[in-house]
Amino acid sequence: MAKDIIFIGISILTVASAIMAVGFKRTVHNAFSLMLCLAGVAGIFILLSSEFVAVMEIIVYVGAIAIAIIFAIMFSPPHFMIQPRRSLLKVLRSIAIGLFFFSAIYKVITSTRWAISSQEGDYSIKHLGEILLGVYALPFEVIGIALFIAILGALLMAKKRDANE
Amino acid sequence: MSDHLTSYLILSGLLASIGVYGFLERRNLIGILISIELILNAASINFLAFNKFLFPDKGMGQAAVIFIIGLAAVEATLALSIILVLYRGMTSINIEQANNLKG
Repeated sequence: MAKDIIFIGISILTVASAIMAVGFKRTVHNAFSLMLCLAGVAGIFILLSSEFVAVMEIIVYVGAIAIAIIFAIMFSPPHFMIQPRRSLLKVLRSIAIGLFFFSAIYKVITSTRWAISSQEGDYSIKHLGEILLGVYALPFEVIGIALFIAILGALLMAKKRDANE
Repeated sequence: MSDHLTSYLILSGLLASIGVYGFLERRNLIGILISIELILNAASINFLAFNKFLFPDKGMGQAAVIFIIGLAAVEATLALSIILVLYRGMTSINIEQANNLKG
């Protein structure tokens, strides 16, 4: 019962801050709402009994990606000077497509008969580590190489060009 | 309610549709990046919900979410450096003005 109340509270927090993250006009407010939303998602992860993934979500998303987004906002031009107005037709079209997407997903969720199995099992970090270095060893290495190349590419692109280039 | 698979799936569906709406409606590259993060998080919630309620081995879904988080970090890094270069070249990050690819 208490779990249900916590679930409903975290869901309302997550969805409301997600709406704020796309709805506000100022980008800084969007970034802070995104941080709140990601914290809510981490709470959902804990309710799904994956505590390690929740901690990683907080560290990587709220700690790194949101801060990087705020850095990018500080590097980009001030937004109150160029305030592009979206025409009402395009906003309504986006809302219609979003609602259509959600209704399609809702139909699929409610019309499928899920084969629920047991919730008991080994959720421990030890088991997760064995999987990451056993069955999923190759994807794990590929993620490492992708991160390395992304950092190299970002450095190369962000480097100041020479004047005679 | 917190013991049903469908409530988690509906929550992630809501997050994903909000992300799709934001992806179509925003004209600012950072707003689009935020929307993509929302969609990726919806996918992570789905993975962990299926991991808890449907799959016998409870470590596989967690490993998949770790991969999603890593790839999201890669994507955010590249997108932010593209924003930086775009601002340097065009002095605007409005995507409707960024329609020529001259380096």
